[in-house]
Amino acid sequence: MANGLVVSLRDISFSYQGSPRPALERINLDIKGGEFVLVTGPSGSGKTSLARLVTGLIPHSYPGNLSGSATVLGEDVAKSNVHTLAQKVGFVLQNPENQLFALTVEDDVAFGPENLALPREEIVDRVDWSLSLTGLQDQRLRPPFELSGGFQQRAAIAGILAMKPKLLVLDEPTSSLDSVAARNFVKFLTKLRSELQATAVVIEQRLELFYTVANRMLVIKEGSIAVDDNPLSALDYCLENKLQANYPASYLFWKRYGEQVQGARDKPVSEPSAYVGPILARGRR
Amino acid sequence: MSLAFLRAYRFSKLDTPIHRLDPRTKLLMSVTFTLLGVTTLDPIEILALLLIQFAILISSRSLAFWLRSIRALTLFLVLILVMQMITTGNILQSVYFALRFVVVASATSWFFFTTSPEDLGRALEQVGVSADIALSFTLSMRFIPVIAEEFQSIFDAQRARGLEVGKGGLTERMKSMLPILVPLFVGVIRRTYEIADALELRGYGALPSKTRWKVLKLRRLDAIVLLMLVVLVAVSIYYRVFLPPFDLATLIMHL
Amino acid sequence: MAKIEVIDVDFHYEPGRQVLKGVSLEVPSGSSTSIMGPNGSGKTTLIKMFNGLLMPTRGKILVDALGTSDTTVSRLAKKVGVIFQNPEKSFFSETVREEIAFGPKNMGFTDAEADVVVNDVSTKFGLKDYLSSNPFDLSGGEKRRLSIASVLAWGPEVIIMDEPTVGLDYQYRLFLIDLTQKLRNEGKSVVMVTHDVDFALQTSERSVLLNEGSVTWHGNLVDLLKSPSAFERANMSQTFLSSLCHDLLSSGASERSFAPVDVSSLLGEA
Repeated sequence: MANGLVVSLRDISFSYQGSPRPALERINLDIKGGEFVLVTGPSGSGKTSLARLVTGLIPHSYPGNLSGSATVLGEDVAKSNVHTLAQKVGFVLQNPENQLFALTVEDDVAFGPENLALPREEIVDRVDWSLSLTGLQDQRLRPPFELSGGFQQRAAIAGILAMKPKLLVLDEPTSSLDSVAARNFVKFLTKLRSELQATAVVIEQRLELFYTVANRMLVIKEGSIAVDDNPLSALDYCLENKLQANYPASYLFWKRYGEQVQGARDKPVSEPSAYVGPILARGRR
Repeated sequence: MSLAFLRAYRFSKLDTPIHRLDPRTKLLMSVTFTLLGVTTLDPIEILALLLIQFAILISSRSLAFWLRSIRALTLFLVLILVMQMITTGNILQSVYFALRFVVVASATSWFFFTTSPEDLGRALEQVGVSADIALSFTLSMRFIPVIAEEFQSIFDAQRARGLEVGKGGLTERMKSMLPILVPLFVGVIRRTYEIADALELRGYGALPSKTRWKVLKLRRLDAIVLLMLVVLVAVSIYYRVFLPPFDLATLIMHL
Repeated sequence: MAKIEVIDVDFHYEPGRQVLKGVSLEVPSGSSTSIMGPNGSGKTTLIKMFNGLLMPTRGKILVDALGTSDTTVSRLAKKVGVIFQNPEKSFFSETVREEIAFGPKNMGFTDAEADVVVNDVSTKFGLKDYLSSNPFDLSGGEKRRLSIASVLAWGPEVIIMDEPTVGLDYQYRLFLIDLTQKLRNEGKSVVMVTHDVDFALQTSERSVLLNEGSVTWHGNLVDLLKSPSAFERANMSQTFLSSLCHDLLSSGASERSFAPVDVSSLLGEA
């Protein structure tokens, strides 16, 4: 990691065993420490495969044909293994239910540190820290089954945080959250990033929540990176090339009427009322 | 058959001396009572064991739940009574047989009522069961309610497509369960793969041995109870070997 | 007469834990209604009552003027088709053909009749080439289309979908918006349970807001857009689109582009 890169992928191609179609094709990607990368794309385009690669699940748990080189936080992914990488990369899967193993929240958070054979006092500290960071102190003795979806997800994240990863990968974290919970999640993630000084890679479909907080956006299509730029430029590119994407409403209205709205030259305003005038004006013509 | 009796086996978080005992102690107690109960037909022993179970049930405040479970098991008790009557023709023997069943059921009931599943898992680990097996045990307990819920979801979804269960002969009924069991099975297998990934992502198996952040420790209360258990077993052995068998009929005749 | 009428319904799984309280609403024929609310507000429980899977503990539910407690789930299912969340979890057949035919056969279709609807519906949903494939081999979007096809196959008059957008991409959302329009044109009633406000805005003409088991608002979508406080009372947050629509309507915009909301027309692309 001498050059400060957290993730470095060179010409990565991968196809799952028994599948002729490549899941990842000639991926070249560098991620620096502290970045907040948003990853989007149609279902089945390779986003999850990319996340699996960065965490070592590919190729160690999902055998197949891997070519190219992948280095994550100083580890050569192909030569390393999931356990070693898990100490540096935290991967929060889409379904939190299957990442909660113990019968109480605090036991689950302690699970990771226990596996790393950390001393008891250290584990106690990490559990307390992790629970306080995720706001779960009042839920610590509850069984995962009784938690609501939002809390379950926080518990899954708490368990990963207790491993103190330097890179956080989250797979569609807001997919099952309602609008209020999703907004709170974005705030929580922003706070988390600054407290941990961690790099975050978030796979998402709900771009409207993230496109103004991420510093970079990747659009994956058919296993390769179609767009890699800051979110606004990435969306501009998609629009110009008529690519299908989950364009945020605020973005679309800004693109269409931004010039007519004060203060919206460089970036979208969050006030919808600003666009009322131009829309009605268009209607009257 | 109603599954209501299972409620007597569900853990309830209370603070009683029994709850505070180490799960290993309780495990030993349960096993001992069960073994003693199953190997005797002596009325004094059975009554003594019953009294002990009652004492435990009362001090663990689980008497109400136990009563509910026994009520649900009356069918079994009657069955046992009748079977014994048919085979031995001896009323008293049959009653002792039935009471013996109650002893065993009670000995296991208060155990699960006073032991949290996580402590049970820990007890298994510390007793020397391998980490993998102990984890499988905890995972099973953790996911049983999840799978039960999934069964219900699939059941609802298929009924919403017009599936009718419980109609027709045995083969028909079994066939009608296929649209529920197949997806359930597939779902469970799929889930297992995801859980396996998730375990690795938390470093499971990274090192040959792991720390245990909570360790069960035997305390003074455990020592006292274990001592009492040893005394009980000793007295029971002495009683069985050295004292003549007790005959209620003879006693009544003497009175 | 409304297709489905809910009259002062209460529901609890066990005493002391009320899931629904005094719910009253109507689903008119040939309309599209969205049921919105935060997670845990009782939305899924409510729709389970439309096809008789659950019975109200108080009040009643009428489908075509017949009480749900006076008939069976399979008879109700003939009229009211429900597609639950993650429907691919109920696949069990070896071929797509069998999976689609399952519902109709349960409803009493003969083999010949079932064949007809299977071919018809698989063509409509782009699954004709996959009829002999194993449902588990399909892609995510194809699986979803299969589950919808499996329910539409027997031709219910009411189609209910529980959180249809969760877990899938933008392309699928567009497909759903398009499908809802087609179904309405065919005179069917569509009910979408969703927490995705923008999706509700783009698919429904009427809306019901649930919060903690009670209906906090119900009526036409346009009226909902005009009353932002309704969102707050239902513990939901406004989106950019809903705020924009509110501001437009308050400024005198014509209501025609708002039931449901036609984003492309607002962007001047129509």
